Amino acid sequence: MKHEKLRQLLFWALCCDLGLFAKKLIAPAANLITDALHIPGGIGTSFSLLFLVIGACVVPRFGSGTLMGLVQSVLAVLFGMTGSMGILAPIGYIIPGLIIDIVLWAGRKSCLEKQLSCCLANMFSAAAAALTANIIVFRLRGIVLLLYMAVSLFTGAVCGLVAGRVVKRLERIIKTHEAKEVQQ
Amino acid sequence: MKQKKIILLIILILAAVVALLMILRLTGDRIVEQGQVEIIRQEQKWYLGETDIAKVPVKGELVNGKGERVSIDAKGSTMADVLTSVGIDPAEVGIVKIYAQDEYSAEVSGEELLEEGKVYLISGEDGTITLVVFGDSNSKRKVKEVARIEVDPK
Repeated sequence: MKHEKLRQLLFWALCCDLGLFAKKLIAPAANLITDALHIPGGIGTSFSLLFLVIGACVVPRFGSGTLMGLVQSVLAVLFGMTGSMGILAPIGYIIPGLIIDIVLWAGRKSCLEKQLSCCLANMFSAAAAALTANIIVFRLRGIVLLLYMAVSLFTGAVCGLVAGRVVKRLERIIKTHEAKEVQQ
Repeated sequence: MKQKKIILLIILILAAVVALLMILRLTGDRIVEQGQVEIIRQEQKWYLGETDIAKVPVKGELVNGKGERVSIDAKGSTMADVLTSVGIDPAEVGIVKIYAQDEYSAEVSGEELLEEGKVYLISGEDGTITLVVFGDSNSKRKVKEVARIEVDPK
């Protein structure tokens, strides 16, 4: 395997793990907000998708988001982190990954800045995850569903903004590293 | 620079939408005080408190999503007794929908209500009411912080 490809795979694996466990870490704080709003979630997922967006944006290949989502779903099933979705949990991981791929691909085609692409990708993937959870588990309607979706979109956009900044810094580091390698 | 402004605009619009929906949600009539349960049948409404529900010891085991057994030892009442206490005959019930404060919901059929030792409302240490259904293969129908019970007749 080429050195570069191995590095990309390792980076994706790191993003998968960080995304999966970040959700667990942020859950107590996120639950405080969602409990106050009387909605069943939406914040933790947006935060965990930030890492998938970073992974898919730093290594821009179509399918990377879906692949990371797939790996996350396998890990979630193996570690018993499926939550209330149960055996259908993989759908809740793969669909947001696919949305990330589509939005980032569309962003590249229409020459959007990476920061805006990341913001939109995180936003729409969080909304897709919320919608999937609603169809499979919650079955919310009316104002509650609207609030749940709006919170997902809002936290997704904020996390996407953070993801965009992280991507910018990472790319600078990668470029410096590559320049050093060329010099050597 | 222009795209940064677009991002900030998106975030501001979404924040405004969240704030508006939050006000609508929190001032709506669907929020019930903690520890209180609203029972609705057609146009009629009843409100029960924790003391109306925590009457008899409830002991048993539930199976969670991971297949682990979780023991239950609390005070509560059968759903049938709760409905009877407000004048609803469990034998005439088609489906009961139980909603949590966050609108997570579960359904219990009229037949299940009549099964001995199956459907209970129990009181937690923090004063909240929880729905437990013994005998389920997972705890999907365990509804914490029960706020509303909607009764559909047969």
